Amino acid sequence: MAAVAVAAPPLLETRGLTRVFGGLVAVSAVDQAVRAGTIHAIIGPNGAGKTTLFNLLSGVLPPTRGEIRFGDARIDGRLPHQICRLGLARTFQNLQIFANMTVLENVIVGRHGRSSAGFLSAMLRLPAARAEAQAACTVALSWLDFVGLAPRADDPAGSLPYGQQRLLELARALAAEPTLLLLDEPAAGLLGREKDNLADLLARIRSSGVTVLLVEHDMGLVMSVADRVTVLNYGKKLFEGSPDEVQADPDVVVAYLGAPEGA
Amino acid sequence: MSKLAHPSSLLPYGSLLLLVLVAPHLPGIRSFRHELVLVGILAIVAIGLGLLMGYAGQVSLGHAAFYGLGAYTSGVVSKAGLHPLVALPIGLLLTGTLAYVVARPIFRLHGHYLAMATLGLGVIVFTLIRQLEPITGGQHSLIDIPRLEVAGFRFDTDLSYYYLVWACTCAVVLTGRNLIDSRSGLALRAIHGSEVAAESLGVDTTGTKVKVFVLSAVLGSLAGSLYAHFSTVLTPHTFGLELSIQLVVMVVLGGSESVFGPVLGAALVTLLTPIMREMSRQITGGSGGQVEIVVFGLILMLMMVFLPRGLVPGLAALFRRRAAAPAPIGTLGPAPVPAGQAVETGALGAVRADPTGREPG
Amino acid sequence: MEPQHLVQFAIFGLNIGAIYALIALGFVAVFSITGIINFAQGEFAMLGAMIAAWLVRAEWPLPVAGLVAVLAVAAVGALLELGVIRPAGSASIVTLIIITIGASVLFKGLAVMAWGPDPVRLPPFTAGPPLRVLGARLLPQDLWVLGTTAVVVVGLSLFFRRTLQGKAMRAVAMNRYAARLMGIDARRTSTAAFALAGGLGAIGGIVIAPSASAYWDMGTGLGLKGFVAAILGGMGAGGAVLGGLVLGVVEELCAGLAPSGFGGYKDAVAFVILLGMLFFRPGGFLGRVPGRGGL
Ligand SMILES: Nc1ncnc2c1ncn2[C@@H]1O[C@H](COP(=O)(O)OP(=O)(O)OP(=O)(O)O)[C@@H](O)[C@H]1O
Ligand SMILES: [Mg+2]
Repeated sequence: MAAVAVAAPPLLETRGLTRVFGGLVAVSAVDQAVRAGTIHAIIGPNGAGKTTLFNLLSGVLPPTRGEIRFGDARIDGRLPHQICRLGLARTFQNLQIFANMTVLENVIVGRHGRSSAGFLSAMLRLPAARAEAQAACTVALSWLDFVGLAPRADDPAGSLPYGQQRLLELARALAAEPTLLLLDEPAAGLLGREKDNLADLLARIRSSGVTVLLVEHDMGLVMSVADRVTVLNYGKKLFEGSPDEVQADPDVVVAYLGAPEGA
Repeated sequence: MSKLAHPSSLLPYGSLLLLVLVAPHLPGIRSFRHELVLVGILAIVAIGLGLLMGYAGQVSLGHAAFYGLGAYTSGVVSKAGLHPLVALPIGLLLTGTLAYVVARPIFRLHGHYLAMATLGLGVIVFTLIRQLEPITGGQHSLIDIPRLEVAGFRFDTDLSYYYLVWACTCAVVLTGRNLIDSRSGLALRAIHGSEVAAESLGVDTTGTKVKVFVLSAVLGSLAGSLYAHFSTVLTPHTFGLELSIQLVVMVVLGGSESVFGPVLGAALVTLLTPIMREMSRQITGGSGGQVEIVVFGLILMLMMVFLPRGLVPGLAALFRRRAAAPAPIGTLGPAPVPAGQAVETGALGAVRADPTGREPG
Repeated sequence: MEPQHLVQFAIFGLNIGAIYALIALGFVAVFSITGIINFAQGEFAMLGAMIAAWLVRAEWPLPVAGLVAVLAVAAVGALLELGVIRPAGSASIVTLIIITIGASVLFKGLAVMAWGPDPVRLPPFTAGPPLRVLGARLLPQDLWVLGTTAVVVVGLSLFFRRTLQGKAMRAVAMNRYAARLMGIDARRTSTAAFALAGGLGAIGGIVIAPSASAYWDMGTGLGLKGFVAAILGGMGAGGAVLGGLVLGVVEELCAGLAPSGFGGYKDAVAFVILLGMLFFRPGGFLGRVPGRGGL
């Protein structure tokens, strides 16, 4: 059994993935595989290219060079909505809540790729469209319940406190029923108790079979939940290993704390 | 989604329906039936434009062209002997196709160019209408367009046409409201809220915007067809830039968040323009027939600065304030934050204000 | 078709193209710095021409009238930014665009109220017989148009490269955020961009007023074509000048070479080009990437 698991192709794989902004190489020839069913953390100092990597994976930015495989499909060059429908969902480091909607409506948008009613059936309120809307509402509520936001379903999303807005983004992404979930600094700005809750949610998400790619600066959280850790620095992959190996690696320590001869 | 069941949400629809039914018989308004037909027709165009402006976040300065295309297709085709009800869908198809061809590349590239591209489209269509004299009659007008006749009933009085047009307007109001409340409407609002989040959640942002644009063009064409069989005479200058701008004024005035905004805007602009002209003629003693242009310009600028959501949300807020619990003053801004939560958000704002907000190592 | 006719159309085209170029530069300045497409840009030209003509009728000497008109319209541009664009604050770009549409409509309405609907003309800047160039007629006013445009373009380029304000504007156009970090007041730059756009438009309107008459509604066509020129040039300053000249020449050649009876289509030529560009070469014919453009 174990041999089969190792031989299985990774859920996500990049080859030579590169993104250049003007003269700046934000992501530089990154080869990275992510195994299904794991929580894979990406860490690195500010400006290392983590968010840019997410933007490339989710199709928000086209890569300058390199390829991305997700499941059986090449997804580099595809548009974000197409990638989402293949089963990849994400959250944003700088929150992208739909502040003009209620909390529940935010999560219902997450169902968009999983539903199909078009303009015409919506305008005529055809029974199929109504049933679909009803179902989307039910599923959305269950995800709100999962992250503990169900009591606030009908509040304006903009009125949620910061930590709950992060949870709302998580619920919204989960509502898309992804096989791969990209979380960009989900713990940023969370208070201690909220972080524990998040770690708990992440473990439950993994056990439900969803693979998680996690960008996070909170090392406590990374070390407690991640199965594997990749370190980026200046856009390049510096190191990959288990959480324990990462902590022991001298290069990583230098990248994080700065070279001793600096300053 | 659960809004529908709530009886209070049906109130505006019921009032509109009642108003539409009795308006042409009210003393004092009876003599304005002709204008009321025009209000209904232009409201259809304005609702379409409102969906585009409020939900796709785009301005069109060429909606008069779609209106004109519908009108002239109906006029020309029905004069050639086909039934008006055959001419109408031909117009819809033609206009929809044109809108699709124009919108697809523009939305993909640079949305802000749409306003200019539609303005250019308006000029091209206007020029074609004026120049293709053998077909459109050009400056000499297209005359003797047959009246609408269905199953032996001729819509040849203002009153019968009034009910026909407003039946269409009400249908457009209803379907427009359905659209706003649907999955697609939610997707459009999501695009407004955060385009990058919307597309990452599976919303085809370009495709959805294009669909709204095509829909609004098709509504323009429908209204144009209705106009053709009402006026029976078409002149090029009816479909110029001036009308396109009036349509934008209607939407801005009423607001584009609900389908009622454009209807109110259409009524105000259509009914007040002749009054403004008359007043300025009396004040200046003759020449000053352009005062409405100044007023339109001021409306566009001042509404955008002081009441960007239009009159209808403002009125609705006022209405709700009367009816229900008192709301804080200044609810006209987007996404009002309930007063009770202000403190909470403020406290966490400190966390958010620190851009790093993370522990070392 | 005689060759001298071609030359004649080219001269007409370069003339009107120079005006398009000036207006296009106004579009580029405002768009690069604020992201707004300023629909009142054509009305700046109209206001410049009408104010100058009005002052000349009041017996002001032409150079003074022209200068005052340019300054006045630059002030109008600045006031537009200060009065309505800035108070609208962080509104969406579309909201801001609607404001400029409103301004354009307002300027037209005020112009027709102030000066009536009839066209007016400025006298040619200098009298004199037409020159002969390859068999075609070149009026002294044509030289004024081309000369003024050349001076403005050179002056503008010096302004952007040599002066502090100009450099600040270029910095903001390149990266608003970084410019703010460098201590540049981006809001003042926006005001300056609108003032500059006003001045450029007014110059265009004034130099064309002797050969084409000025009237309240002249700005719509000029503005549209200036925009087409700006798009042709990929929303960059150099491209805008080239775009204007090319558009002018193409337009005149189309009108001149088209069979009789098709003259009425002349105004549509620019928009056919515009739509064609948006479909096939959105970055302008110089192949720039679509985006904020540059100065
Ligand atoms: N759209 C863009 N245009 C130009 N440069 C960009 C853009 N996005 C990111 N960059 C640059 O690319 C580099 C990597 O940025 P990125 O946001 O990916 O870093 P990060 O690892 O997510 O950092 P942080 O931990 O601060 O979130 C940075 O130098 C950033 O300035
Ligand atoms: Mg980041």
